Amino acid sequence: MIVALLPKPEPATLGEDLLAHAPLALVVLVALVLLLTDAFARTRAAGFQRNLALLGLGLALVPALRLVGASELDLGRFAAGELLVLDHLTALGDVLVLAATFGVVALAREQGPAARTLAGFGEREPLILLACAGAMLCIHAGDLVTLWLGVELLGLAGLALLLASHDATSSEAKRALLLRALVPALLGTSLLAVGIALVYAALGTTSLEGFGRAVTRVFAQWGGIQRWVILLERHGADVAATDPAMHRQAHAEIVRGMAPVALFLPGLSILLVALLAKLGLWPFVRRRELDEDGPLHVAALRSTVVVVALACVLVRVLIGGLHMPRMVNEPYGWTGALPSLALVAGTFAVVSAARQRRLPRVVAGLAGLQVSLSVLALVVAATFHGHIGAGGRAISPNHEIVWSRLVGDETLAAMLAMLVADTVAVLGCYAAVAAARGERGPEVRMQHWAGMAARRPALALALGVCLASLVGLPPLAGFVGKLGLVRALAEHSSLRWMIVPVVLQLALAAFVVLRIVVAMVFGDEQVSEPGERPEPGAWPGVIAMGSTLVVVALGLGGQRLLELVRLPAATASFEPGDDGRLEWLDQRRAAWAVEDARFEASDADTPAVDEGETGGESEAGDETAGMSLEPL
Amino acid sequence: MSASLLALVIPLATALIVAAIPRSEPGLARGFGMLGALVELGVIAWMLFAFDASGPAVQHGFAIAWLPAWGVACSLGVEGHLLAPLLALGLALPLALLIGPRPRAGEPTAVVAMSVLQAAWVGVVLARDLVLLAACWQLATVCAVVLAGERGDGRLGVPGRIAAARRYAAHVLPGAAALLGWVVVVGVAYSHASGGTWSWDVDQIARVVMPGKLQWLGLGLIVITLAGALPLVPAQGWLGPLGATGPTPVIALLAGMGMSMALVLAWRVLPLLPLSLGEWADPLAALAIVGAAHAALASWAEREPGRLLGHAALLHGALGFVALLGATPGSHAALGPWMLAHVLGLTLLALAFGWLRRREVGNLGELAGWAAVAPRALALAIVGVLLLAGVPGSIGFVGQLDLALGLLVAEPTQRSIELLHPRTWALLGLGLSWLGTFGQLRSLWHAARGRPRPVLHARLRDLDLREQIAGGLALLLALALPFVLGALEPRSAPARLRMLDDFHHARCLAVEARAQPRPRLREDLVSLCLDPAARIRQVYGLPGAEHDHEHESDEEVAP
Repeated sequence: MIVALLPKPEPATLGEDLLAHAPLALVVLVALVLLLTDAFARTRAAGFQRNLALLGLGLALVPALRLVGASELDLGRFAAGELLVLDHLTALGDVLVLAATFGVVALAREQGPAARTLAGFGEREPLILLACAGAMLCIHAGDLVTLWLGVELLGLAGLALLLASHDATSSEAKRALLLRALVPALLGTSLLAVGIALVYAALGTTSLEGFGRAVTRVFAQWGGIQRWVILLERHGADVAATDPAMHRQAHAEIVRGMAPVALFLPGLSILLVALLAKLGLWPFVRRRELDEDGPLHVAALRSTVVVVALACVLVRVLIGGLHMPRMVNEPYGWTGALPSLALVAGTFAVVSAARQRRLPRVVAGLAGLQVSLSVLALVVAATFHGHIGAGGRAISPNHEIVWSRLVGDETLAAMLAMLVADTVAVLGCYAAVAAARGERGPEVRMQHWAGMAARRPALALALGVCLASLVGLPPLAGFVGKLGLVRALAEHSSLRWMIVPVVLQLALAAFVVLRIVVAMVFGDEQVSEPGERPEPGAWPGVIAMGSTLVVVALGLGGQRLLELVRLPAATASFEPGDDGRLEWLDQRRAAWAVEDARFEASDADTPAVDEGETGGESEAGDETAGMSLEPL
Repeated sequence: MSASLLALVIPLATALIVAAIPRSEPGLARGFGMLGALVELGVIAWMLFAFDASGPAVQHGFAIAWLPAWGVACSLGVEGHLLAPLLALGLALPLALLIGPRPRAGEPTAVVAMSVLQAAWVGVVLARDLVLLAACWQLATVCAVVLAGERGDGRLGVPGRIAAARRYAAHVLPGAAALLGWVVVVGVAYSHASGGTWSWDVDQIARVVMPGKLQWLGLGLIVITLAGALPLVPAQGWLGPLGATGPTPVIALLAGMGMSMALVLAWRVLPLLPLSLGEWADPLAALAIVGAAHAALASWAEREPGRLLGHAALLHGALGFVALLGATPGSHAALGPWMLAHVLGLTLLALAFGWLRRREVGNLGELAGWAAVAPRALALAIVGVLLLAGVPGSIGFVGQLDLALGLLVAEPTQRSIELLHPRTWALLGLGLSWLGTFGQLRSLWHAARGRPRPVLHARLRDLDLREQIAGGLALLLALALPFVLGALEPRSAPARLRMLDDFHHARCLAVEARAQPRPRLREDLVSLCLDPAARIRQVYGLPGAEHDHEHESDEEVAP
């Protein structure tokens, strides 16, 4: 109520927009500078652009970090003529993408034997930065056209990266790889364009501002013609005989009312398929695996930066714009086949990982599993926001709406927590592989890591911990998100059965990881990394260890991870600029304050429970206070 | 610092210290590992004897918030009925470290994994939060799988060990994941029952009366967990290969303490599913008895020492599970001695059979004259078998006696109301146990008698001093522990009785509320069960129902 009385903020100027998007602008600027330095460089030592790129990314991280959790983003807003968006989700996405790009740049290493790597390829770093810029455009997309531009920039930069190495086209296999990567990429691009065109034809706009309202209008229009349909069904022949003009008008009304929906539904489906294809979900998961034949940093880029960007896009479009019941529910809703699709994709990914001996492919398989779980979490969150999760009279009806919103937010928080944890862990895995002394990262097989714990314990520890986080082993960061996902599934009356396949997938993934860990720890030390290969620099090892520390810290301090993602999760179901955001955030902050107070109190005096006092019910009751609906 | 936290931290600190020791110093690594294990044993002993019998139900408490947004806390505490498992846990690691082969390269890693495994198991016993419990169980499972594959790779490894580790992993990993699934299901049920409050605290969860469907789902998930870890037929396939190829200390830990921990887990979580457990106790007991029959018959034909150990473990494990399902004061009193006997008996068998394997004896049938060349090793194997069978004077005897008293000779009103045929299952279990024991003794007898072949003297030198000390210590413990348990009994008995009363109350409420569509809290239904045991007998038509006064509460549950 109070929020509605507040004066509307003035539209931002171009300068303010630019300042608000400083990380994006900085990345683009640094990419251009790197292109220039590449053009004029003479010596071109291996990795000669790396430090400059890292410096630029570090600079971009400073303003990005400042925006995380900033209260000025509570309301969110469209910027640059509604082409871009700025809110808590974009702030989190920016930081994740920039950190992941930092890691990718740092772990990238020259390909091939030492003799052929004297001169570095300067295109690599600017291309990675351009991919980063594309990812940030996706995250900030306030319009489907911006989204398309971002996705294409991201995809093209990734494809070009496959070429930006010494031996990229040196063999038949590499050339075939390029073709294999190119064809699905072009197909995905075409589908995306067709989908956006159909949506535009249906709604008359590509802007995400008012997207939900426009969709509702289309369906309302469709509902409006039902009287004409009924009329023609019941009395069509009579009307045609007595009043042909009315009959023609009825036909025209029906076509006019039906056409937008007839365009919108296939458009949305095609858009969704294209985004999932870019994300590498089944049946495109095989493409992700084939990408591992490329340089290691390309695989890392696809498994981290691309995933973060497209996950944010899915949240923005599907949760932010299309979570109304009609769009979530069957028969017209977008969530229908997605859970099964995610399940099949995850199973395919983890089974393919179990059959692999090449570590990058194993990591890619496990990353594929994470993508499928994220999509599953997204669907569950959307169905809760669409108020179809409860059912079964499992909760009293007067609490059902508030409950479903809360659970929807918390499921989204679990998905974002998974995204953060998995991005860091995947990056750590690739960095650890890159830090091994293989000639090419992707060629490092499992047997090369046998006995690694004896030779390089820190590296083995880093890989082990990051892999364990990917399968959700407690108390690592991956556990937090997966616990949230399983909890959301348990709350969902119609998807509860999915707990069983999901936990089985995770068990199989744990089996894959343990096989590697056992080989590293107890493997025969005589089987070692290939010798006489160029030594990697210090950066991959630093990134691997850094990722490991972050994964452990975010797991032990799981509450901090949840605090990081709860703001974007709580606001994601509202359009930027919607006053409802502030009201909802006010309510949520009251509950969070209770949680935070309890957490800080337990931090301050750790032995909170003295001897002999644990079993008391009153004490246990205090422990759970404040996590209920009361603050609402 | 709370003793519970100390018991959790000491093994982890030991692991950290041992991890810092260079691989070139395996003896030092084992020494530090042993020192840490002994300190842990000291802390556990202090916890046991500092437990106040007249004090609160949960003592040595510690709590700190972990994920307060989701109600998850890192809370620890010990209950009276879990004192004996805690003692078994304190004894298992020092014994396992003693019975292994001489320290060699790679020792630090194995000791680190064992210490972390001990910490995780301590967490399973002490956790007061179900998420923490599941997390500890997962960590323990991972450590166990890693240990099962120790030195199983490459030219220097043991053939078949990796395959055995894979088989073990395939059996227990789904169970670990299923346990997490169950924990989440009950947490959500609590949230729904309490109007949106999140907590995984065991005491809070125990307040929930879950509807029938959720109970069946929960029991299914728990059975997946127990089937692999306990193990239950047909998921017992990992025991034999692991016994035949696994590292000696790891066999002792996983078959001895690992199975005991599975029983502890069942003891902790099954009472939270009173309705489904009450109705499925007999089929579960039948599964255990089928496993016992398989093991008893296989014991007569088996000649491979490691597999024989697996059969012995399965046989003894079945008895423990039947005792748990019996849910009478007597049968639950048997669980503590049962666990201690299980750990000690299998440690002795692992010691003797590991010794045989290191001397490349893989078939007892080909071994004649064992008694003449290595009488001490043979004696330890026989003592191990007898200890599991419950030879009088040992800790095993106490367990068997309690089980027999609890399930066979109880008064009608004191009989199990969970098992429909407690006497049948108890008689079958005890009978099969003795049948299998005779089979194992027969195999050992055949190996022991006769004149040894000339080459046998060269191959089979008797146990070295360290192994003799380990065996002697286990033997001594087997004889002394009945007295220790006697001293602990006043601390444990009230907790066991309280737990059983609570369980029957919960079951009665669950029976009354089984048709309810959503979870409820006990407080909403409490007036329905004034005499829970009588009501359960009445509902299921159990013996003793006619002696009780008629239960008047046939009223519908208030919506």
